[in-house]
Amino acid sequence: MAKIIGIDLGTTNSCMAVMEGGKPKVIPNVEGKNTTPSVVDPTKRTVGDIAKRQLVMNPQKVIFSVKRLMGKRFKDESVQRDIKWLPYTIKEGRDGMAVVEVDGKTFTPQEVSAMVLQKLKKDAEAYLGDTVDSAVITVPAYFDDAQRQATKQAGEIAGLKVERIINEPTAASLAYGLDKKNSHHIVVYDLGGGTFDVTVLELGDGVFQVKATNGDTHLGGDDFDQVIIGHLAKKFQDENGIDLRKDPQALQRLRDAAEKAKIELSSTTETEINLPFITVKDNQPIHFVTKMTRAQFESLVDDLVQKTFAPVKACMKDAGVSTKEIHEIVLVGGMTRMPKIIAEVKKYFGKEPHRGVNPDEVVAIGASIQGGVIGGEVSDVVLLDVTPLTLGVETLGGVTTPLIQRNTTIPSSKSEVFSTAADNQTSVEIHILQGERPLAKDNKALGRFILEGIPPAPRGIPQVEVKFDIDANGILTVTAHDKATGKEQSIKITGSTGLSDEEIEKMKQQATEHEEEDKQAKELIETRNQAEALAYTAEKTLKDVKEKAPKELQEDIQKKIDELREIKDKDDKEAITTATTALSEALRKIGQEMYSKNEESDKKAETDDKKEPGNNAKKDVKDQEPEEGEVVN
Amino acid sequence: MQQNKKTAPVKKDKVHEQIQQLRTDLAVCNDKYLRALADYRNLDNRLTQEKMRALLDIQKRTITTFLSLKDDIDNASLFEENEGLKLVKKKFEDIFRTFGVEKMETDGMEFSADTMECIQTEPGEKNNIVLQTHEQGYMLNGELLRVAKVTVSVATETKNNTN
Repeated sequence: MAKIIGIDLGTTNSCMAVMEGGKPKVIPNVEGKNTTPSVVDPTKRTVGDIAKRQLVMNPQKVIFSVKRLMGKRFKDESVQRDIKWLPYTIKEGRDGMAVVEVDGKTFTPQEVSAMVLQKLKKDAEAYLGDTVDSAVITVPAYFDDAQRQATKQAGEIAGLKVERIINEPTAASLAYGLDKKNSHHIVVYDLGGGTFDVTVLELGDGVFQVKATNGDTHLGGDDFDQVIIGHLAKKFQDENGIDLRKDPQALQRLRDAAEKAKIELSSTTETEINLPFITVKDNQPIHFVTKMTRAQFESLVDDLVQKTFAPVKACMKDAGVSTKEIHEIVLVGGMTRMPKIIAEVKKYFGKEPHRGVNPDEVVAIGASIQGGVIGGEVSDVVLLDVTPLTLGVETLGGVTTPLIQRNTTIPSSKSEVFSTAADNQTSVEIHILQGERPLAKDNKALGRFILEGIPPAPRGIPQVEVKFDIDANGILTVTAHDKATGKEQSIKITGSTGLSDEEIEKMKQQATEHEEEDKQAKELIETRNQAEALAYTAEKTLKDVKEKAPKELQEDIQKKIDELREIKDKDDKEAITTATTALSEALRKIGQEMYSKNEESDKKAETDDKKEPGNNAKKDVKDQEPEEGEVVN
Repeated sequence: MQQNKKTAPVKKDKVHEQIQQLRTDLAVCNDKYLRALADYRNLDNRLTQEKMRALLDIQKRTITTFLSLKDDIDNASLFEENEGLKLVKKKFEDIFRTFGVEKMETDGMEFSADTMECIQTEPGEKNNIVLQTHEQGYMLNGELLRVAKVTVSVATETKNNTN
């Protein structure tokens, strides 16, 4: 079944998302952006950024904010208000409905919106590599039947089967999974680019009901930008006597700087506006450098922030609920990233609002979840479990070596090759562990078995492959396989994920609590392992060199091996490291000794070769360069 | 014997039914397996594409942050006759070139919304011609890096008409 996409058809920007593998995912447009401006040139059928770039050039041809006209009659009060500021022509169309006119042609708001939806559909198809023919589209909670019907028609014109029209606040609540919670009243505070909406929802039996909705159709992020631009321009004018707003180039730079400052002040407490060569006075360049603190910005826009609370209060009154009866608060719209807004909302409702989902995308995400429910994606999703804790084996020194890390989606399979810890070891014990602690003794033992019949060989030579295979039901099969003989032994553990949630949580907590001491214990074991490995190598070297190295050096190394062996099982990591370094140094000496001996004997052999032809002349051997083709060794 | 005769077809039917059921189950499982495999391949392909896209995106974002610095250097060179500044500007342009950053030619060209944004209009002889570039546009290996912000001409006749 083809996917049902969720579309947030916004006044300023639109966004789309889809359920994939049981998770909602925002679909970027072909320009690579997650949101598309709801701007259209209907005669050229250009949509989004490309249309927006022509807005100044063709204000009467490029249509924006058409959502304000959806399903409205020409004579409606709001349409008459909007005519005053919208630069394009709005006329009375069939049945007295509001239509737009461009180059003598009339377009219904549905047709214009359909062009936005068509672009979204096309971009979604390009992204998904599949046809998209169904969608869930969101509308503001205050949309009446006619407006909803118009939105549905827009979808149909665009070639989309509109599976459902849902309210934007409902979609936002779905994105936070609030339908599954036991809450009754939810407030959705939506401060977008150009409009502000607040809605009180009541949830009963998994159904959201709009209790009340309110807002301001001309209040949004753009107003906040304008305040900063105004402040900066005034400051510059006071200092230099020039109004930057009259110079389009300077204004453009100021606008970009204001938006940047607004974004930065959401995460930092101070920002610098640095605009060199902003304008020219008496043929001399003038620069504009100033600082803006978060407190300054907040006091500048305080009126705008407070302005949102009048609709909030009215909405609460209409809904007949007090702030104490509100269980959840959801923030929607880019402006709600501003710390002051979050703080004010929290102050008013006495509760922390939900955050976490990108406020620009939360509505589209919710719509896609609704689409997933309709398409069966949500209920029919194959629930793949994850391993709650790490699974591994015990290795040298009682250390846990993880094979399957926690949170790995199962079924999964991992293998690793291990070797023996001692010479001529003919069997290995596979001790299977579960847990996050580095030491085996602190983790839960799931089982153990012995693989026998490994041919005798020096330590580190045999290759035993240990494979962990965990199926979809959490049944773990551990197999050890000796690569040399092909001998194999395995164990099946059925209770590997059968721990209770409390047990898992406890084990994770313990791992965090003991992190530092565990780290030290593991380091001590690793130091011991290194010490043992070096002592083993040193002993082997002594056996190999026999009389080739000076006796006193050999005795010194043996002494150092004994010292290291004695100290290595104690808990003094520093002492082990010092003894290991000392032995390593001594070994280096023996290495040097052996190489220099070899060199000497080589030289001796060389000289002897030269002497052989019976040349008694005393020659400096060092100067003697071998001739081409001569055998020197 | 009679009893046997009666029960035999029942058993056969049951076995037949079971076989049918198993066949159906197998077909369902096979279908699910193939779908999962197809989903995985599609995801794999998309991840590769997204990885490339993400790399390009990071490159674009990084270079874009330096564009404002380049604008300042360009602006500075209009006022300062300084050899050092000239060298810095050239070095900047050379580095940009190695990344595949190209400056757009806009002045006197026909306006194109694919690469330009109109921030102002002025009367002119012809329609749609870029009269002034306020912010230089750039391409990165043939893809749009930053739109050029421009003043576009509106033929006097057209402007009067629209007014």
